[in-house]
Amino acid sequence: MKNIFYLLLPFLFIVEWGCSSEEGQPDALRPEENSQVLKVEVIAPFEKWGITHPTGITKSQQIFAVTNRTAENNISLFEIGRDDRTDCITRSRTNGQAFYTSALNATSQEISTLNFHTGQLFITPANENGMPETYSIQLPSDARHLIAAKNDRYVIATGLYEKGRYLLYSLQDQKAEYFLSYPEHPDFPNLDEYSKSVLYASSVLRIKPDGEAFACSDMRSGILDICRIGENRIERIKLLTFYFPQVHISGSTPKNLKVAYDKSTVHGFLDMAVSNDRIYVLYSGKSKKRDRYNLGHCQTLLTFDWMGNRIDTRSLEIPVSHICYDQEEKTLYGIGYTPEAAIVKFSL
Amino acid sequence: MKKTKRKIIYVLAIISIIILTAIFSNDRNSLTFSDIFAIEALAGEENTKYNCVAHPGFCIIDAIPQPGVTYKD
Repeated sequence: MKNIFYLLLPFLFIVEWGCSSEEGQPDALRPEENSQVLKVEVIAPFEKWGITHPTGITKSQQIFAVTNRTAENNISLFEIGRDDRTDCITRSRTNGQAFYTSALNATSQEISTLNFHTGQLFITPANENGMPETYSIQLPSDARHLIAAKNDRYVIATGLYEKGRYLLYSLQDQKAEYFLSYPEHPDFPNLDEYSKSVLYASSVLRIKPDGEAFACSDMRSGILDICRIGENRIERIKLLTFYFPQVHISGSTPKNLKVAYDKSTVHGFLDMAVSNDRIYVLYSGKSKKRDRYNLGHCQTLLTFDWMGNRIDTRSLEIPVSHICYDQEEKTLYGIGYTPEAAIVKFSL
Repeated sequence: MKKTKRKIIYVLAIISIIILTAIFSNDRNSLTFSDIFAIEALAGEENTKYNCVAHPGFCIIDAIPQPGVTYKD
């Protein structure tokens, strides 16, 4: 009798394990059982260009740019057909450089990234003659900017703002205006704007190539904000809220405010790429509790139109951490894991 | 004596099954993608000064942004 008990024990453990791993992922964002798996083609490992830990990717003309958080320089530029690379923005706390950068973005003319400690937006023109020259724009110094994207007329940014969720900074007259508010959290209905800015600090911001709209996704939840850029103003098209983050908030002033995420919170929209027709969103669906070290490896791609309608949800063949859209080829490139980090091209 | 041996074997078998289940779970079916063997896991730094765990996004401590995420202990 005792022997039977010992034999049953392992099976009880397995059943318990299986049940406990069901927590987390919101059903609305899961790919359907019979959904097509999106194929990706592995182009080359990043090792080819001597890049070990790419943490962001964008493309301007033929030039790819990746953020390289462990290298001497913040940004590495390279082309698929060439083995050499060019590095820019030295990792330094001295003026005119950056220790860390965020918000790697590109248009067909230039690549931009933000020093989120100083509010300096670095711009590198996509130069066909080899060595690019980087220059910078200083965003208003009265606020902390975390994410920014630029086109030829303005800069859109978000950060730890009290006057509104988005900054619209006109490049022509250097005028700054703030618009809209951060999403409410149902568990914390009385949060002020600053507290909400900390809660939703981890964002991704992409401007539509024609410059008429932008999308902002939240990495810690299932929130996607789609906005229109009008005559010197920003208007919301649609705020999509699939689920809110599980979070613990205490304190109320910037100095004593503590926003700590629960280990079971499901990470959301980690990266995004946009075309004039579509918004492509990489969804993690993982929690620290379950996937301790692979939170950033996404295997779901959501597609929306600019009115906020979901077009489809597809599983990815291999995990992908970052994506960018190529306007000329009309497809997505990304950082995939085989498990080595490699540049991958999507078959859209 | 025989019974004690048998008990030890059962306990060891349970432990082995739990470890193997941990390796092969997490929606992936190969050792390559297991947390235990992930390269990212080995490279994952934890910024103890700011209590920020390495992850995309921002960790805001005393109104100062750092790369990472803060979890409740």
